[in-house]
This record gives sequence, C-alpha cells and structure tokens, in this order.
Amino acid sequence: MNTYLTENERRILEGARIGIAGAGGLGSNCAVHLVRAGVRRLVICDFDVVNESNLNRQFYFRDQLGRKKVDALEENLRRIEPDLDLDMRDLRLDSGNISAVFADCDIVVEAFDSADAKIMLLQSLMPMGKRLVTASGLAGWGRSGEIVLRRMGPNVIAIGDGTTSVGNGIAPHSPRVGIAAAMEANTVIAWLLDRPV
Amino acid sequence: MDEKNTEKAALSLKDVLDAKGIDSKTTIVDCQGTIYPPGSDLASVPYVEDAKIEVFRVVSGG
Repeated sequence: MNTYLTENERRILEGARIGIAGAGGLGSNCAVHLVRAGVRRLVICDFDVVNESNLNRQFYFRDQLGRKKVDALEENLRRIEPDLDLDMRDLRLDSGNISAVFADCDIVVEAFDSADAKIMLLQSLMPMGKRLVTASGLAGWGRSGEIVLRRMGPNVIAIGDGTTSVGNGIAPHSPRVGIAAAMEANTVIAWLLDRPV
Repeated sequence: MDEKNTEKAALSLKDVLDAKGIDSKTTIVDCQGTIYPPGSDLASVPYVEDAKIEVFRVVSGG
C-alpha cells in the first residue's frame, strides 16, 4: 500500500478502473507505476508472449520467457500488491472489440507498439469521449527533454517526442520507453486526483 | 496614393506543419480530435491563425 496517500486519495485510486492497451514496454511499466501508486483495478490486454528481445525494456524476467504476457505481468504485479482486481485479456484488440473491452474503464492508456494500432485506438475511443493517454515517439537514446506531454483536447494527452519511430536502425530502449511509461502513469494519477497534468 | 494590399493569404494546416518541419507522411492528430492519415491533403485544411492548434505525429514504438 502507498503509505504516502491520504485516506481520500487512496479511496479514489482504489476505486478507479484503468485500461491498458498493450503489455509491452509502455504497458507493463505503466501498470507497475499505477499499482505502486495505489491503483488496484486494471484491465490489461495483450496477445503476445514474453521473448528475449522484450527484456531490454519490458517488465518481465528471464524465467518468464515463453509465457503469455498477461499471465506473467499479473504475476509480477501481484508480487508488488497481492490485493488487485485484474482483468487480464489474452486478446488482440481491434476496432471491433476495443470499445467493449474498455467500456467500464475511467481512463485508457494506449501502450501499443505499432502506429496502426495506436491510430485504431484513437479512432475508436476518441469519439466516445473516453479519457485517453497515448504515446508516440520514444525510441532511441538520450533527448529525454524531448519526451513531452501535449494536450490534444480536453480528454486526450499525448506523450512522446512525436518523431522517433522504431525502425531504420533505431530501437526502443528501457530509459526512453520508461520515461514515456512513467509519464503515462503520472498523467492517469493526476487526472484521478484532479491535479494538473 | 496607392494603398498597399495587406490582405494575408489564407493559411492551411500544411503551411503550419511545413513551418514546424512536419510532413504528411505520418499520421497527424490535432487537438480537435481529428485524425489525418498519411497522405492527407493538408493543404485543403484551413488553419485559423489565432486558434491554438496542437498536432501530434503517431509513429511506432512502445
């Protein structure tokens, strides 16, 4: 339990349900930050398994290679806080199911790796007026100060440098991905506690 | 005396993005929630000069 929270803050964070689309570098690390902060109810979707290339940035361990990410992440999160209400979906999200999956979530965190999936989430959930946090442009090294937060209307926060894509010799690495994941989690908490994002 | 024609040419979203060094090859999202896929005709999208437009380019990685 986060012993730094007031009783009211704890009640707010424990009562919220947060959706996370993707359990990779952004999603796994964002989930860890949320749980450590005091969030207890999460809906997390990912269809993939833990592989060697994930270990440079995703919150998994070598003895979890080959396991479903949703299973491995649930195990890791419960090691931090056993008393969690987790809805872990071994599921590939698409425009046909994403609205239903996150219907009961107060805020949804976009944590995909592909640009197409990020677009799909924005196109599907923005019209619903759902509060969203998305990230784009977080590959490579250095330039930490270029990972910034942009307010895209009242309900959407975009985090990243908006430029540095994975590909052409540029890879995702823990520090920059971690910064973006932490900013996504920090935005969620600020929204829940009605603090400036 | 002839008056100088001070009427400004209408700006487009493409003009604004060109000034920022952002091309239309990637997906752009603006603060109104409008999504412009790659190759969108941003020159046909009018830009209201005094309106605060925030745009965000969607690229892969996560």
